[in-house]
Order: sequence, then C-alpha cells, then structure tokens
Amino acid sequence: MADKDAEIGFKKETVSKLLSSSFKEDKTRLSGDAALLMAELLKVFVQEAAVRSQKQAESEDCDQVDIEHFEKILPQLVEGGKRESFIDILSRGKGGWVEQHHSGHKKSQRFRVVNWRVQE
Amino acid sequence: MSVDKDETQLRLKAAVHYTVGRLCQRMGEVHRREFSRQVLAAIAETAFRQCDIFAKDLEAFARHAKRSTVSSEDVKLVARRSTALSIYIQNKSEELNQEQRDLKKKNAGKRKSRDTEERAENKDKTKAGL
Repeated sequence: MADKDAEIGFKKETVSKLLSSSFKEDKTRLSGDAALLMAELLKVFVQEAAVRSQKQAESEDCDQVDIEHFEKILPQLVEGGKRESFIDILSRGKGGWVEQHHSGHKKSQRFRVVNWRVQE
Repeated sequence: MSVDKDETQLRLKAAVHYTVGRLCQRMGEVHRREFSRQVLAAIAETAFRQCDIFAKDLEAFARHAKRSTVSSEDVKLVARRSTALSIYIQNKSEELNQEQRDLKKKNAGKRKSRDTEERAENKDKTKAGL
C-alpha cells in the first residue's frame, strides 16, 4: 500500500512553476530540493483534506463525500481558518473592531496596546 | 503577455486537478468512500490557492535569510505549524540528503574505477606501441 502511495504525487516541474508564478520578485528561485519537498507537502495537504472529508462523511453516515463534508473540515485545514488573530483585527479597515469601538478618533491617533487591550 | 500567463495558470490548475483526482481515487479505494466531482474540484482549488500562500511565505523566509533561492530550510519553516507535518518534512529532507550523499559516493566510486581502467588501457596501448 505504501509503495502505491509513492507512485502518485505532484511533479517537481509542476510544483516549481506553480510556486514560482506566485513569487513577488523576479530574482527569487526555488532550489531542486525545496521543489521536491513542496511536492511532498502538497501531497500531504491533499491527503489530509481527503481523509478529513471522508471522516466527516462517515460521521454523517454518508456513502459519498460531498461538498458539505469538505466545507466543514476546511477551517481546520487552512491556517487561521475562521479564527482571526489580533493583528488581523487591528489592521482591518472600516467596520473593524478598532473602528467600531473608537469611532470619531482621527486616524493619526496612536493606540497603546496594554495586556492585549487597545487603549488611547 | 497576460494571455500566455492565463494559459500557463490554467495548465497548472489542470495538472493539480489531475493529481488531486488520482490521489483521492486512491484514498477512495483505501477507505471505501468516494468523492463527488465537486469535492475533487474544491480540493484542487484549495490546494492551488494554498500554493500562493506557501510561495509568498517561502519567498519571505528566503529573503529574511538574505537568499534569493528558496531552500529546504524555508520549506521546513512553512511546515512548522503542524508537528506531524513538520516531522514528516524533516524526514523527507533527510532522505533526500542521504540519497544525494549515496549518489556522490557512487559517482566518486565510478570515477575511481574509470581512472584505474583508463590507466590500465593506457598501459596496454603503450605496450602495443600506440
């Protein structure tokens, strides 16, 4: 079974092109080893998505894995999922927590962060 | 040419989709629960998008280390969040290094035996008066 797993995977060239297309700078390159490791990482990522979706389908007594099953496990799979970090909340634009609780203050107002609470 | 770029992206997406399909087919066989086509497309799309995030992280890590080439060390950092994944990638990295070391030894060995062979050949040639 393990041998068969080893056969299927992402091609080094595909992974290389895929990642390179997202680099911001032209000079950034991907080493051969890094490409191989990322191919492995992607494979694990996909397998995790698959297995978790299957388990979700199983828990709901479904024979087939459907989109709802995948959607339910997605937050666990993708980093940060639905949980927002403090920095995310702070850096959000209008309508964010800071805006809501400190409306009327000028943008230049500096906020002190004490014990993870924002104070003027 | 943005048209070429789009084409490349589509081709890459298709390649990802293909591998996702095969991986999921195998998992479906193993766990006896198959995936709808929608799910396959969704997993492929998610993997594709996740690559964008990975790439930007990798680039940032390399830049932080004042390198322009992303290395396996950067990949290990990307995998750090999950302990199991981190260990898996670490092991793969060591496997790769071991393979390369073995390959170097093999080539060094080949070169040595080639040298002795050549020397033996030359000896024969001089004997034959060539």
